[in-house]
Amino acid sequence: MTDQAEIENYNYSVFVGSEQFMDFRTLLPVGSSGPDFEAPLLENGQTVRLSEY
Amino acid sequence: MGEVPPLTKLHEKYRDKGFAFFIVYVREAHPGENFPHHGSFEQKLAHARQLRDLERVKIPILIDDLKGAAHVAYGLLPNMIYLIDRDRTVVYKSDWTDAHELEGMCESLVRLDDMKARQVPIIRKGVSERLHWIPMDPQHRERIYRRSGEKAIRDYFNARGHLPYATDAERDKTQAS
Repeated sequence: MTDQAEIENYNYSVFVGSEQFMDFRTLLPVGSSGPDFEAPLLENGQTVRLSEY
Repeated sequence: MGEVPPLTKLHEKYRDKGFAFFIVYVREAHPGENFPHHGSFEQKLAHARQLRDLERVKIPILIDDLKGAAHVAYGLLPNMIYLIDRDRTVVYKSDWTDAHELEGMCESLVRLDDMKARQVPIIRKGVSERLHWIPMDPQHRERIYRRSGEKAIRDYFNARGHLPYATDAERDKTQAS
């Protein structure tokens, strides 16, 4: 899937109610390691990385 | 959005006890005329700023990328919550944010620190599971959907067969007709 297609697929324009609540039960069970990620803070744009906490 | 005020209280209560709270802004779960789906990062930032101002959010907001990398990695649900310890171990997760539950978990970690400081022996890490029932405030929910726009309400109705702020009795009535 191209980047643009991935973006459009993720940011759907019409809600169709496709949430996978059952899948959530088995994804990342307690005791597992939380995936690291980084994202900018809205306030100042400073990038925050989970593993830095 | 209804959990922002109680989460803010927890953020203020626990930030001096070694906790860091973040809201990760992801996608528009219910895109409407006023808050359509994101097509650019700049637009996403603008929506997040509006959210912060409208809901008076004081908890730091992180902006996920346009593909939802963090959101995907953590399960793609619209209102989920995770509590992750210093070793990056998931110690609590919920498919819907419940500040009361979270407070109990924060207290558990505070107690753990206290037990470690007092060198209390620990048998092992245990796991508990529970179901929870998510209450709905119809007025609040209607306000949130109307803020996004009539399209958000229409799309929800088309997907679920009832209005997003319908009470149980109203849903039963819709389904019976």
